[in-house]
Amino acid sequence: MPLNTHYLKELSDLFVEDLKRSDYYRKLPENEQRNLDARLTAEVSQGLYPLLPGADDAELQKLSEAVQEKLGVSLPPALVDILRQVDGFVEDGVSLYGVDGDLRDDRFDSGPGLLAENLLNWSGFPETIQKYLFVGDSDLWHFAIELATGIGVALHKSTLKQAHRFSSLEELVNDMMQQALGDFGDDAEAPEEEPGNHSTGFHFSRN
Amino acid sequence: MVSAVAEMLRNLEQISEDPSIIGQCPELPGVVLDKVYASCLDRDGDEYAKINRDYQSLRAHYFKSLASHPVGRALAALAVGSSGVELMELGRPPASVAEIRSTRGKPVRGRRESYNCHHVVPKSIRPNSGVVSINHPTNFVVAKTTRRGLDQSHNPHHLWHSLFLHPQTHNAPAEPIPVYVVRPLFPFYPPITQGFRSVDEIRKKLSELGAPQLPEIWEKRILEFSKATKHQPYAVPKEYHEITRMFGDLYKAQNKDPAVNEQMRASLAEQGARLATDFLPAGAYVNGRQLPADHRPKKSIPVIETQKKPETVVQPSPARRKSRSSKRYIQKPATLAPTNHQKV
Repeated sequence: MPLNTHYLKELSDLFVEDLKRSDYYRKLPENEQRNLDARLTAEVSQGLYPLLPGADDAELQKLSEAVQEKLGVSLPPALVDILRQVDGFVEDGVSLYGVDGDLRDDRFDSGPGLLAENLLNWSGFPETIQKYLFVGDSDLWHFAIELATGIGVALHKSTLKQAHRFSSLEELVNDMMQQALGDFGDDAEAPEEEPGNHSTGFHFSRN
Repeated sequence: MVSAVAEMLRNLEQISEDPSIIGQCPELPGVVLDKVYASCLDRDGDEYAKINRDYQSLRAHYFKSLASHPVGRALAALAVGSSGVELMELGRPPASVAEIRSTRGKPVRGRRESYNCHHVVPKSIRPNSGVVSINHPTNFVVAKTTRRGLDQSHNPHHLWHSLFLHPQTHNAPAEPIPVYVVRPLFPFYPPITQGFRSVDEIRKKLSELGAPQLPEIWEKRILEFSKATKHQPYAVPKEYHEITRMFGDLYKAQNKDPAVNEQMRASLAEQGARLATDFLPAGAYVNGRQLPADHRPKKSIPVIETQKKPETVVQPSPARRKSRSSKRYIQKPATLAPTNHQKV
């Protein structure tokens, strides 16, 4: 099931807007600004979400091998499908882990890496070793895949007890994006339902 | 909300007028442990859901109010810079674009420095004293959460969780126990991104940023923090994130043997408990066991016990953003006090 395209677009728009008003962008030489703008515009015309890219097959293969080697677990195919669509993000305190910077050809570190975050969480919270594969977090929750069942879950941040079980991993990530975008409840401007944009079941972030 | 922000700042000031408290524990400058009696049971669904909803709706207002309060604005300018203050005015946590990578044949990627609003006393424990109002600015801190692979030196919040909170709440008894939570002495952590050796340097920086000047008590705290970090940007000491590297090596060598897994869990829990025990006082619980009365922590971190209930009340309101455009969202500063410097 594809992720909610409205959320992907909104997040992408937000990141591009943030870039445009950042000191980093303002300080770029004019020609570099132009080139960057052209690249971002080209990505839109290719149907991509600028500054919210998906991982490519080579990166996913490296991540899969590294997770198997260092964590001793297989990367769930549903997670691979998600990362192909959105290779992590950080917004409004919500983080979706992506391919680790170390595993990219250019070694560019664009946000929390799935392998590193799991090494870290398994170290800090040993009772989660090989029980959960962490996929993201917010101030309130850890988001993870329960490895025995493949089900996406939200865990209380302090106690690590399960707070919610999602009907699918896509629903979990849609919910994370919804939280990152600050949408909690009022349906007046809710995106129209289109194939792939329907979130089945429980809206955890609205609960 | 602005009154609640003022109360939060006042409370922080009242913890100690002596700025030397900032550097008392060199490993954890600018924080104290706040003793809270709490149950470590999860809240029931309805109660937790309400707290969650309220928090989501309050947070944006908190950022805006903090950026509009003169002291909050000046502290924000020093901690997160002008672009961070701009985002707070939009009701968003501060962040800044650090780098853009535009490799031929690959999509453009960005890297950002990120912060988040965190609860000092976490929502998933239930304080018994009644003095802690979970979703009140007096219980909030904006902390840096930038992560670069295994390098957690710019993620102090993770340290607070893994070093203090988790060992105390894991396997904790059901009845109320003392829980020592990390309470930063600044509304932002770390409070600065560069060193300051004199008050004049702070004043000059604030002037450059177009931010209001700080009261003396905050200037002194900033100077003490800078001294404690040897006038360098704060980084979590290496020894507190070394444990992760050891884990990676262990697992790599032994692979999937269940016995090794069990041994590793025990070993890591023991290490986490040992690190926590270095800081926590007698009577604290670590991995379900109470530290004995004769326990003396190796590290000297100040301990307080918050006794005062918040005087101000904050009301949640609908949180959904109608638009994320800065044109529609930049707010006028609060009217609490005149601010002549709105450039930040």
